[in-house]
Amino acid sequence: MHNIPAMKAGTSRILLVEDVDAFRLYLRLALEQNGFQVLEASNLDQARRLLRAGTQITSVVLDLDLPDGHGLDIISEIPPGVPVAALSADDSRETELRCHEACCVAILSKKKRLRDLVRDIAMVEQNAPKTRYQATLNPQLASQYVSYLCEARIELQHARSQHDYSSIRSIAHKLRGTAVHFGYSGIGASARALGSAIKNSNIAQIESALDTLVERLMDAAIVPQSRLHL
Amino acid sequence: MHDNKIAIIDDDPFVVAHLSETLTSRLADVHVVGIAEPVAPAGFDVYVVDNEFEGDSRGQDIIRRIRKFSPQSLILAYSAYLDRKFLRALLRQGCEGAFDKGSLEELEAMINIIELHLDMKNADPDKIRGLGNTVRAISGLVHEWNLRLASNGRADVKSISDA
Repeated sequence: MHNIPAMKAGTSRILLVEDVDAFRLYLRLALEQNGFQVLEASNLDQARRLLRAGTQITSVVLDLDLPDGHGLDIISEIPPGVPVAALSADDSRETELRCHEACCVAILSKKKRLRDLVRDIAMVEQNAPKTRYQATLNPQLASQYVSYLCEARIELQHARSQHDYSSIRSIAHKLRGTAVHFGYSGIGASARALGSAIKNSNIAQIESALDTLVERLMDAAIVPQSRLHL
Repeated sequence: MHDNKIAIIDDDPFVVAHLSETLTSRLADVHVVGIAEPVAPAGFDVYVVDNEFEGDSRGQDIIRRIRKFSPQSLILAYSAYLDRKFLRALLRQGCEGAFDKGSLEELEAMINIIELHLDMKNADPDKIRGLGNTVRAISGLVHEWNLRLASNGRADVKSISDA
């Protein structure tokens, strides 16, 4: 039994980008019944116009297969820190990786029941990075930091593939100094362990610390309960 | 109204943004400026200095240069990695204290020291009864911090009263 997380009506505004009218309508009604505001777009062009108008949104549910392009084509136009959940009937590994690289917080399977989809979207909203931020800083800064964590993970993985320990150390150094202040104490601790391992030139420790740090960076970008392929 | 100027010299924009907001929200009448380059600008009451800029250790040089032209300013190092050797070097260059970027508690301690320093700077000399106490309070806070580091096996540096 999965309960839909309670939401405060009016606090969430979801941009739902989906071209199949009936599916979009059903999903919108179900979301509205659970207290969400929903803005609809049936293609990339409509979604772009809403985003360029500065429409305030708290998350995006984004179909990948749209008539005027791939859903992820619009990712860069979505304000930093606004979580994006991909919506797809395609469960392939390629799609998963592509969404992951684009920093989608989840992939929502169209094969699921409507009720379960709404529950998963509620989780995306409830666990949106901005809500993890406990300090008194402005939400925009917190959102930018979440985007930075995603970039840091990609850079870290690239540096690891190149055995570029100087870059790895530099990334860990920056994470070590900031993560705890943005509510990610686990990332800060892992970055500290990685820095120590590099200082000691202990390859086994470095690899282990890298594994942990990358995993925690992934956790920071992906809603824990939903992960990929909900 | 006092105009307390604080410089954050750090090439990490998130450190600058976070610290700027925290200091501005916690301290009265402060003007915080973030500086991403490893430079030593004049005219600030407080300097918070990172050690590494693009991978190079530049903090000690910056601190030494600031201390030369601004003996009255409070200079604090704010670094992600602290060890005994580094701390000793910082204190030799005239830094009053060093704080671990990766610790919420040390951020609190750093803010307390900055607040005390600014209170002391802005106090009316005729009304000051506790100037010496304030100086000692700052020394005490740094000393307490140093003891904490020592107990963690990371350092046993001198307090500012010894430096």
